[in-house]
Amino acid sequence: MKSCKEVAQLIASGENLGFFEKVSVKMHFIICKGCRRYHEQQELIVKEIKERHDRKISKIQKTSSEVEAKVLENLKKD
Amino acid sequence: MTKYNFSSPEFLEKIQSQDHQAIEQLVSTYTNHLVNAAFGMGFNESDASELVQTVWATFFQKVPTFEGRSHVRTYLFGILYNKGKELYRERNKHTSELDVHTFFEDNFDDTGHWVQKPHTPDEFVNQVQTLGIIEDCLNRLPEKYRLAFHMKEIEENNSEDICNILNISATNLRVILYRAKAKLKDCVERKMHA
Ligand SMILES: [Zn+2]
Repeated sequence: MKSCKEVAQLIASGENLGFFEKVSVKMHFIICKGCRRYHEQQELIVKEIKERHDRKISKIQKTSSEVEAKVLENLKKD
Repeated sequence: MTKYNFSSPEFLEKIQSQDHQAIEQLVSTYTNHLVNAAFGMGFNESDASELVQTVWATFFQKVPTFEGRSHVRTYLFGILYNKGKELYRERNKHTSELDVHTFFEDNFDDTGHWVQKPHTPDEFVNQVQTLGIIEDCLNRLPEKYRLAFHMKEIEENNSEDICNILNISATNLRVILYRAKAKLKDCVERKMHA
């Protein structure tokens, strides 16, 4: 079986994995608690960032309306 | 009101001939997406507002020579990325590339197993939710990582679009996303143990 470091290096390479490589990565995740935990913590960070962004939605909408009005106004002037 | 197909040559002609209805539709459709991405890059209201106005100004300046080889959305986001780059660097002076070599050195022992950091999952959740940690770690990402991360993980855009906007290959995008997440995780860990 591949070591955790080898699995991480394989994913980090960004290359399209072949069938057997994909299977061996999946198998590794099923068996290895360390890799699972690392992955779960990364996903938790992503989830937290997503929630923080969602909380800004009203600010985003307000800014969008203002920008839209300004851009259209400027175009009318030209 | 006519609903335009933004990828048609007829629509491009309308925009180039400054048809007001077509322009209005384009601006109302994409301003929100552009502002959303500007916030995703970490800009506040005033920076995001200024940036997106610059994007539109640039777009209308360049549109007479735009040949429509890419979708208008890709073209707009490409401008956003390029205009946003300098501002991002100005605002986040401490960005740095993830040193992949030290990443593997620091996280794995000689047998290739994880060097586990001593904290429980609950502790990790609490720390991640602590105000400031995440924002600060996000601000340490290089601008390309930040926009790619936002478009893929937050907005869930398709990879092909992101590659066209950032002008990178699919392999490169996967590398960037891996490094962005590894860098965020690494930064959060460091702050938890600081
Ligand atoms: Zn493992």
